[in-house]
Amino acid sequence: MNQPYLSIRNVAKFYGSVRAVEEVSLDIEKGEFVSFLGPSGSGKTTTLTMIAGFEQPSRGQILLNGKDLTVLHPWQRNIGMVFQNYALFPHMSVARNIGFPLRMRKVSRAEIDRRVSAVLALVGLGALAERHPRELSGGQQQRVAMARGLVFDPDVLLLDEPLGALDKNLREQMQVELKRIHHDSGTTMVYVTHDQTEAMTMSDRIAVFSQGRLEQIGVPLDIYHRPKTKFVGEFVGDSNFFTGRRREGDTLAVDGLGPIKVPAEKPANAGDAATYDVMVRPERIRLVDAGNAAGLNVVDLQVSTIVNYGDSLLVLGACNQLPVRLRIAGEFPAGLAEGATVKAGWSPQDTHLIARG
Amino acid sequence: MQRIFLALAVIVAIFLTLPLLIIVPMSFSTVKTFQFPPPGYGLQFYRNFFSDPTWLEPTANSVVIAVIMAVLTMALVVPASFAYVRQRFLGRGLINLLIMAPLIVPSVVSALGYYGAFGLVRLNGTVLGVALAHTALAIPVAFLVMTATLKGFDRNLERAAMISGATPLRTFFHVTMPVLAPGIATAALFAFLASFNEAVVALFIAGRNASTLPKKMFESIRLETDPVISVVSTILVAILVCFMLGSLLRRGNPRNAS
Repeated sequence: MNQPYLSIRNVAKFYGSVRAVEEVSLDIEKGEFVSFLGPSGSGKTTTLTMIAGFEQPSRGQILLNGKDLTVLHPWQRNIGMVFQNYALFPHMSVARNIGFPLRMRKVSRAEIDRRVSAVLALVGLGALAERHPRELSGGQQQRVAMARGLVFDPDVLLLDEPLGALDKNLREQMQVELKRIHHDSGTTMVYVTHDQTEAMTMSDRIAVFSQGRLEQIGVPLDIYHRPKTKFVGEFVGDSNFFTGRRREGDTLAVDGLGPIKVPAEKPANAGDAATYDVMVRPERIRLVDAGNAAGLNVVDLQVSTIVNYGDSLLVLGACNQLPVRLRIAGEFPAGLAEGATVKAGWSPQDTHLIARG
Repeated sequence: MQRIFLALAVIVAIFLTLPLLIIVPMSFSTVKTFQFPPPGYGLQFYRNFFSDPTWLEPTANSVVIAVIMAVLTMALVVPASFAYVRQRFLGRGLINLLIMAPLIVPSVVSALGYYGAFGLVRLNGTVLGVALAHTALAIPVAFLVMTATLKGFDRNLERAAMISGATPLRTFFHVTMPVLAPGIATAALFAFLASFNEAVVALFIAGRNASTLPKKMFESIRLETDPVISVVSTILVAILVCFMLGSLLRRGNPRNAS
């Protein structure tokens, strides 16, 4: 088996008694787009900073192509970085900003011009070479920052929440652009974000961080449909969580809901665990009546609030005082109203179990 | 309400520039008195000024002293402000107070102190002596400007330079200094002006050999009734106006708009 391209092994970072990163290990393949996803303070940015070299790990190793990265200063690593506030050099034109890493590497004038033009074309900014950063829009500045990070063909490109300062429409546009740039350049990219939609749309794999630990790493759909911890299930996508005890075969007794049918296979980390976190995604629950409820788990739902997004509805309610959320796409169903009691059902296959320690 | 503020602003502006409306015409006067309005207009006193060594020498001294002390001040203030803004060390607050101290001490007291101290090392009446004293007096203001500039400096710029392959030294020269340049220039200008305008300490320690322009102007007012002094004022104001026009034009140029 090939050795992984970028390997983070048992890395920890302590600031005095503060454990910013604890025991994080993960491997990244060449050419992958991996997102570090998590809330503030989860350790994702600190880990990125250690890959860049601005901080040293308190413990553990970071290897690139099998070689220890931590003995090199940031200026000795062949790594690019895009900052949240772009950090473009205000006293240089776009072309000189992008050419900076090449000038530092003593590349010839002619070669610099050639490569700057090429990367400007890659990010879609050909005509703006002589402008200065203050004359550019946020989206344009972001592209210049990317160009500067890619022009010297880095081993890895690090991106620290680069789209945070942009408005929603521009952000979605740039997400698509970033994906295209990743595809066209083939550069390995590590992307830090707290926005799970961003991580889901752009990543080959997502590494979910919480409180300095790596909760789970996997492809987006795996993270979404098969979270390994309650944190991942709650952080990525909308969720309903219940507590289940006393499992017999394919039936699980769930607090407040009664006996629920679950998939027959045991979850991977189960053992003979007594207690489970039971997750059902809101969009997998729908309104049912006696006729179409065969084989489904059905509960009585007291509807409290309905939020209409235009293209879908979020129905908030309770079953035996347990909060339950549904998402319904499309038209407003007959019989649904705030205050009404309806029947809600979902397939046993959509019940995801996470064993509690 | 806006109209009232505008009227107030105009009144204050007139009040501040009124002395100029007397001094500038007086510099073109044809008689050797402070008669206002002048009986006639001519360039006689301008010719007098530019051919009189007792005026030209102090002017040259003032310029030389101001340039020397501006360089000295910045050589001290730039490293000090870096240390103050970017490091936490024992006694940091106390050092800040000490650097600001010259602002609190009355000029006459400082002047007396310098006179006594410089007397011991034979620095009275020397250009170097005046330059040293002016350096100490200008450091507080230059330090304030530099620390404010540094605090507003985005350190991600330095990280971006380093991850692009620049060593800390190259980062300093290629990125940090050019971005700080306007702040450094402002601090240096403040230092230069502080020295060029300084009268009290100069009166005590400049002597005859290192006489400065403010010192000469003070003596001239006390001992003579020569309108040449208004020539000096007019020239200084004219230089200032040129600076302001130049800076306004630069900012009006779309290339420099921020």
